[in-house]
Amino acid sequence: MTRLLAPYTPPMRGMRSLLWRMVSSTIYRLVPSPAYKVRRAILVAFGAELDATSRVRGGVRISAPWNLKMGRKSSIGEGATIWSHAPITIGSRSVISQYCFVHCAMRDGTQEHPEPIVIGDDVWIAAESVIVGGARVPNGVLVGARSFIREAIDTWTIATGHPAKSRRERPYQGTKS
Amino acid sequence: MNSHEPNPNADQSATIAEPPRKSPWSMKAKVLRLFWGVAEIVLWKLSPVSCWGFRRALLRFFGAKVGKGVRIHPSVKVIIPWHIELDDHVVVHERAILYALGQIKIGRNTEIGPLAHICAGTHDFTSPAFTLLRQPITIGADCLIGIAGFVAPNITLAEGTVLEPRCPIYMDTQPGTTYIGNPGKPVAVPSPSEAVAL
Repeated sequence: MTRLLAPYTPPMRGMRSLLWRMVSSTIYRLVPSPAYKVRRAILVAFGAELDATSRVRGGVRISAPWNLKMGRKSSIGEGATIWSHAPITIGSRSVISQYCFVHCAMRDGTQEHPEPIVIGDDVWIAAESVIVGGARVPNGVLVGARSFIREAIDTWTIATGHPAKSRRERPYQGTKS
Repeated sequence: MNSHEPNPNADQSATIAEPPRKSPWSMKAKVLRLFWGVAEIVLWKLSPVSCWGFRRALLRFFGAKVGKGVRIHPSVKVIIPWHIELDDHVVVHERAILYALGQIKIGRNTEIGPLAHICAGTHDFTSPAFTLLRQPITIGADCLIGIAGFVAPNITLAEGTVLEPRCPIYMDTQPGTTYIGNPGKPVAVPSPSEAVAL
């Protein structure tokens, strides 16, 4: 019970965290949604490894940009929450849709042990899905809206449900990476 | 390449052909959405909760078809107001999202619960271009979308459909049926004899 009542304290220390909290709650929030370049510049200044073609839309909350890595033409949709207390790697051409929740801890219901999250290439994580620490999303996976990723998923499949399971092969006209 | 495990150290340059990135929005749509974005911040979100008529008028001004007695909370997110069509006495509760990239049509007396997400937009996931698809959603009369329900694009909810809280629905529904679970499935209706026994 105490855990539920305890206030949320992100495991972050130091000047950089303090500065990011100040910037993210003021200037960063006010950047208009289509101004991808400004937002990317702020995130890169705080140590994010973002490809020049990647996009982060407005209203995305990122707890620690220095742990975020995004590949070519990948994007994060409006209002997503990225609690990156451990490294989060997003591959090329991957999309995290609006209001998704990517949280590097919480696998065992606690905040104490953040684990990295790796998302492959050509992945689409549809709206309002939840990914917790230690999750690995292989290449070409389509995760249906409102899913929760816990079990292993096969490459190039469509996975939905709670927990998300590979339901069928994903049809794709392009080259599968 | 063993692609079962994503490779975090993969080469970031384009290794396979990528179609060029093209905005799916015309310049007119962009300008209109900018106007609505400003109005949303300045007028919609700051309007007092009791000013239902003011928000109805604001939606009508931006091209929505809004019936009599419609009640929408100021914390509701309407992405594109000129794509929504609300019949009389529709109620949309706190922090619901009308993601109206396509047409969203909601019938009489329907209630959209708090935190619900009516998502009328998807992508063509079979194509490398990942084309935006603006697919419509039709919600019939007397429906109830429970707390934090989710309605997928290109779907018709029949009259009197009930979505239990947190239930996402990805298929057309039967009239007067309750749906539960993820993904949403109809609740087993007791046969008439069982119903009498209850």
